[in-house]
Amino acid sequence: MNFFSKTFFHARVHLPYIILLILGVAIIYWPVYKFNFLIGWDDQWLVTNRYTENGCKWDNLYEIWTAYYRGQYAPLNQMYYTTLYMVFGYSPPYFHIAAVLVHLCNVILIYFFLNTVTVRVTDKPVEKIRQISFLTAFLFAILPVNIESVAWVSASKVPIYALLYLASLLWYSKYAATRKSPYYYLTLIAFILSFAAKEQAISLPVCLFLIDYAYRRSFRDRKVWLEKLPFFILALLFGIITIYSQELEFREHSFYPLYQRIPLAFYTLSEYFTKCLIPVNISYLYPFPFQMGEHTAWWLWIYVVIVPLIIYFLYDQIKIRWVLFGLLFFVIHILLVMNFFSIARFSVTADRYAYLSSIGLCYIVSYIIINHLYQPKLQKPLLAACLLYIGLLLGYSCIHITTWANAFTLKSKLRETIEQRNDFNELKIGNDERK
Amino acid sequence: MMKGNKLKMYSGLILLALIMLMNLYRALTFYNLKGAKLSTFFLSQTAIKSSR
Repeated sequence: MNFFSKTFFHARVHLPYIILLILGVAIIYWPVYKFNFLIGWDDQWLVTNRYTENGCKWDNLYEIWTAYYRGQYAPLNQMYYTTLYMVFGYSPPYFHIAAVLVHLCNVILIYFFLNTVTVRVTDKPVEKIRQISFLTAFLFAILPVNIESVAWVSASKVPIYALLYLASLLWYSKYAATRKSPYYYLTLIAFILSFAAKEQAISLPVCLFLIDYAYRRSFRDRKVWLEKLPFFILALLFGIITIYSQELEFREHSFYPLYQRIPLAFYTLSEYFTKCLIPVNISYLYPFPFQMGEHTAWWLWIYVVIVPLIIYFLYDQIKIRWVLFGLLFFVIHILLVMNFFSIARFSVTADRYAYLSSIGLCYIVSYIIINHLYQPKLQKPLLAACLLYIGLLLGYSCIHITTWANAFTLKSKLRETIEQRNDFNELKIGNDERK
Repeated sequence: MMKGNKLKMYSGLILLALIMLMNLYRALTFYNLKGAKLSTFFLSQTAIKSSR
């Protein structure tokens, strides 16, 4: 097959899936062109700032890439705002549409990345692998927890870092398959750029080992470790940059003591797991189960006992290659925000932190569905259940996205929820006194 | 699959369902459980003009 016929063949095979993915994103995100900036929820300093307005002057670019800004080091994300401002000015629709396009690119990248990797973790026929990859990307596209990352302009760091992160993983998987060095260098460049968008990218070197696992590379091979060395050195450097950038935050906020961080970490892990698969009452803020200095809530210890028990009981299932791949993909990308290492801020979890890790869970769900869909007995009920699940996710996302229209819609929604709590009056008095 | 292995698997799945139900219940009541007090700072963040 020559180059052109090969390209045509690939386009013909993938095109229907790509069109469906575009449709999925469009159904959820079409209202964003009407959305405003969230003045009062970070957009007023993260998006509309002097770096954005000073354009591509040398001294501005120099400052963007070399200075910390309010505890943040995300020069690539700032460049994204600066470029959009230079072309469109402070026009909210363009900022929102750009974020949706980045999200769409991520969805398509996931489809191609999983197409490449799944061949290595299963012996399923190619057509089934395409369906698994498609369903994973589709679920990721419409997941309610991912709305915060796309519909909130200040969270654009997340889809941008994910785009470069996924590109890096795709190139690394090509490197693992072919051992061609250009793919290795592309992986490295994408990793650096991904960190320039968001610090969470430092988990990439660990994820490269996961790709090695999928490609059945031997961990006894010295080369497998040596080729990760530049990535780990960079990750260390990036870690130092992050600590310095958040120095003030570290000084102002404190950590929960270790004995409280352990149950909090188990609780947070299970919260992200549940929120990704069955999203209910999702919000831009989630309260900590107990405040700093208070006793650990007794029910938190249930998580410390049950989570390891689940791993023990399901060990035989977990060690199946594709299950382990999906689960580790989820855990690796959630590890840094499980409240074990991170400082105690006022929200125990944040939907945007689950953006990349949700891929792992979508992958497991998609694999189970496609795997059983071809069994005659299960076909009809499973198809009905699957369509119902997708319909519910779509419906919830379509409703939830309107919350992000402006600061009023966002904050009123949470206020209404809090007003229904038993302790609202007590809280209100405390809040008034604080003022 | 051996009977013991199946029992182990179902026990794991039941525990997983239990923990997810716990999380869903907490989410439905918006974390309004005994011992889960909100901080006043949390409430202040819901004011329209407040900012971080």
